Amino acid sequence: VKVGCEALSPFADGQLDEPAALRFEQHLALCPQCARGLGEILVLDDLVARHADRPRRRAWRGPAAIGAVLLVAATVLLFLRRAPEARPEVLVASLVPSELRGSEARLSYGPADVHRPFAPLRGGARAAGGSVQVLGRIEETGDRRATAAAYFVLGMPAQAEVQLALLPESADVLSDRAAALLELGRGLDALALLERALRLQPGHRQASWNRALALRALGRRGEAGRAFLALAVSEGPGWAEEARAKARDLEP
Amino acid sequence: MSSSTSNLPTGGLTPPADPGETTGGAAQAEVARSIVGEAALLGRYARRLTRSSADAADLTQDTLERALRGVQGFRPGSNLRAWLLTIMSRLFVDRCRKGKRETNRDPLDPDCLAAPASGDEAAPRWARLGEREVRVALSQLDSSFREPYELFAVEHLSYQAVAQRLRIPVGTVGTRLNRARLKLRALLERELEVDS
Repeated sequence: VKVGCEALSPFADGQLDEPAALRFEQHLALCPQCARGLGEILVLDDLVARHADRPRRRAWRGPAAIGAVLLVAATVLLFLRRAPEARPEVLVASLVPSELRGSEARLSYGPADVHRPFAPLRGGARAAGGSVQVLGRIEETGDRRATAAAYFVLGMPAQAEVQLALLPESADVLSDRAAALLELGRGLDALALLERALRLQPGHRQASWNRALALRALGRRGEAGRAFLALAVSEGPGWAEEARAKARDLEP
Repeated sequence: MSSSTSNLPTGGLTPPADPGETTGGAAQAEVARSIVGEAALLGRYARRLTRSSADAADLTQDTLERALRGVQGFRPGSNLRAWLLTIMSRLFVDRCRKGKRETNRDPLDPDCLAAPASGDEAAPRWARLGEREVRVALSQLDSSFREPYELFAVEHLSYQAVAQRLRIPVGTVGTRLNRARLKLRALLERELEVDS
């Protein structure tokens, strides 16, 4: 079945099934009117989303989302000002899903440590298509921490751990290694690294978070609950609420 | 394929008509900060177009890179998000034209990133309108069009959810959204004339 201009609106809305969407892409390549119309639809929807006198859904403007975006922006800009080409930090930031996070553990690698609600994803399902290309570009930069973060974000903690194990020991590296180990179900090993990280840098935010997870994974519910309660006080928006909820779940 | 970006021109966008309106150093850094701050927004729209998280991440990345390279072409005071979304849709169309949506592509391919293959990347003129004008235009839309459109564009409900909420067939949602957009664009054009 041929798909023409009449499909522009449902295509732009992401409502066509895959075969119809692919056929519309062929049409889009040849139709200047639809090419222009596509951008106009996005711009119009955004204009209305911003200005309509109607409550928006939380996912689009929650303080956590704004904080997350600012965090990414701040980290990314530090590097953008040095050189215009794609930096590993920018590439990692582009891999981080903007709505949900697939791992409960936290990375100390800035662009990847953005709070989004936790929703477990099936392993490997995230590392598809273009992401693998981006991963390749990150690896090419030779930045092991960025590469590890990319593997972690894409649901490949074992590969992340291998990268991190090759780096000199620091609180950040230990905490990120522990995050990978937690994903691999190695709570005891993770806890050992986290205790080391917290000795090197007491109060390390991500290590403290991951330690609470490790304690919970090891069945030390009381200690885990207290650790999450402490995080509910010390952490910023998003993380604090999640820590409070986790503490609540651990109450006897 | 090239993994180096050294041959890329620093600006891939249509230069502004009035060079006096280009952004200076400090202002450029501010715009760059704002550009990166819209990554999540771009990601959501990119997912609508690409239907895949991985492709959406690539498209968002390319859009950010392209915008940052062309930051000096952004006119201060105009609608940044409209400019970014226009760049994104142009990049997406370029991908469709190159038939690269189905193949492994190198996102740093100079052809892909640097050339403004679709020409003008200026956002529509009505994109500069503010809250008051947009609300005036929306208020003039018949509620049978405005309701489904706002549920979709503002509350981000799916066609299915809009249909359920308004108790109308799913097919009708698409038709009403299409009509709502056509009418709204015409109303915004009129607001623009009133403004000027």
